[in-house]
Amino acid sequence: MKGSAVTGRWHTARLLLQRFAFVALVGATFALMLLGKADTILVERARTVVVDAMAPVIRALSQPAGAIAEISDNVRDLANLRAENARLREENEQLLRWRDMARTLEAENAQFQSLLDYVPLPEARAFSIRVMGDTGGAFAHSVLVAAGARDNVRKGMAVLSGDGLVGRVAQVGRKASRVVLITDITSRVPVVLESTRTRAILAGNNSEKPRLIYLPAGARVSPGDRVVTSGHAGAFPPGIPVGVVSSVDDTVIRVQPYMDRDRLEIVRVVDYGLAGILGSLDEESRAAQAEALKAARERGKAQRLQDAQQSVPDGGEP
Amino acid sequence: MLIEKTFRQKTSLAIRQTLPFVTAFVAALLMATQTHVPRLNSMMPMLSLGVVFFWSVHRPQLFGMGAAFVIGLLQDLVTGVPLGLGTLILLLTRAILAPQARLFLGRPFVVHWWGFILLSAAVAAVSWLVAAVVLGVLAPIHLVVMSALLGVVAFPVTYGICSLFERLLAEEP
Repeated sequence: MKGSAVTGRWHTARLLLQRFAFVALVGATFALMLLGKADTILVERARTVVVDAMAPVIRALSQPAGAIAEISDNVRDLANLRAENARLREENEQLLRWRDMARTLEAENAQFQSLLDYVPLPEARAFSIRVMGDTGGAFAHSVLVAAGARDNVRKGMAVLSGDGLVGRVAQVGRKASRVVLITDITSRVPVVLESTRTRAILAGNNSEKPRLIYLPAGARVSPGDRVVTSGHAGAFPPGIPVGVVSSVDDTVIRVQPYMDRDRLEIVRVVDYGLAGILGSLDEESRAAQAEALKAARERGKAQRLQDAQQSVPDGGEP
Repeated sequence: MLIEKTFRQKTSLAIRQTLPFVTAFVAALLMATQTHVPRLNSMMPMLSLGVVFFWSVHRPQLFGMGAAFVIGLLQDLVTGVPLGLGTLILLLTRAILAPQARLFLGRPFVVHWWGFILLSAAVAAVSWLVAAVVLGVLAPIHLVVMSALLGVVAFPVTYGICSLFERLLAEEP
């Protein structure tokens, strides 16, 4: 009788403990949600540490899908070899014509720059890295790349594919980093419509087609217009291809990005030395950026001096 | 000899008892892999939900609320979704299902599947609302619905794999 009373009490205590644990864990979950909003730096650090630790496992789990995709790509490429070859020949001819035009424009541009004492942007530093994971589902659009701080990846760097802008580096671990895609719900990229130079903001919405917002009143936009980065706010340099306007209606203008999220395997991380809207570059990067600008100004001065000396006839006064 | 066998038995049992946690852990990380299937990553199903459903019904004592919390937190941190979203979903799933296990145990698979369909619908609604509150914007509802549907379609596979592991748990070493 006494034994059963003890068992009953023990059972009740255990039940209470379980209920308390549930309440405590639900409380902890809501605390996490608040923390995610209040202390983004701490949460970012936690994400970085966990992604760094899990990177080898994610890479190993991604390999079978990657191998299957590679095989199917190879089979498809083999089947389309003849047609692809013809297309590439045609494209090559077009590109050769473009190359000649680009050379002429480059020379002309250099001439104008020296005339205007133009200070160019610091030279970009780029390197290619492999995509190892795609995360977020319907609530976030980001990819994990297999390079981190030890490979000189820094927060805020632009990420490009062969097609166009992919996104920017948002979190940097030691061995892995997270790239927030331009389609992510938190992404905002200052852009211009290439033909009309109309400014806008490309706003991600977690769908495949982000929207154009904050267009000036009366702006004319039509499907097929090319969208490139504007360079405003220092987030990205101007002129990086982003996508084309895919649909225009009374309320929404959608853009089809050039980058294909499902085919991202190798991406190029480019350091333009821009602090950008993130304002997150460390002191070292800021110093490097200032140094590069100073050097560019000095180059401009030296060029001006040289031009002035060249314009002076031998033995004459300038 | 006898001691050695007992030790081996104990070790084997201890390892097998981690199977529920390990399967949920792998499912959470699988959600962060690149599938290369067009549009799938935009509507990646919550694979860990099926695993937590299974273990909450079949072996709740081996998959406690603490485990659900840890797996949810790991999932949130790795996938980059708002912190606490997956944690809340998995914690509530474990807390609601474990006491209702008798509704499912010994019943045909179709009953489990129906249960999971109802759970997925509730999870889709709750996660959409929570994400809207946390992010301050509405995620595309069609992607959330598609993700839930894909989870329902994937459930038989998740269930089959977990059943295999459960048989391992039941075996004597």
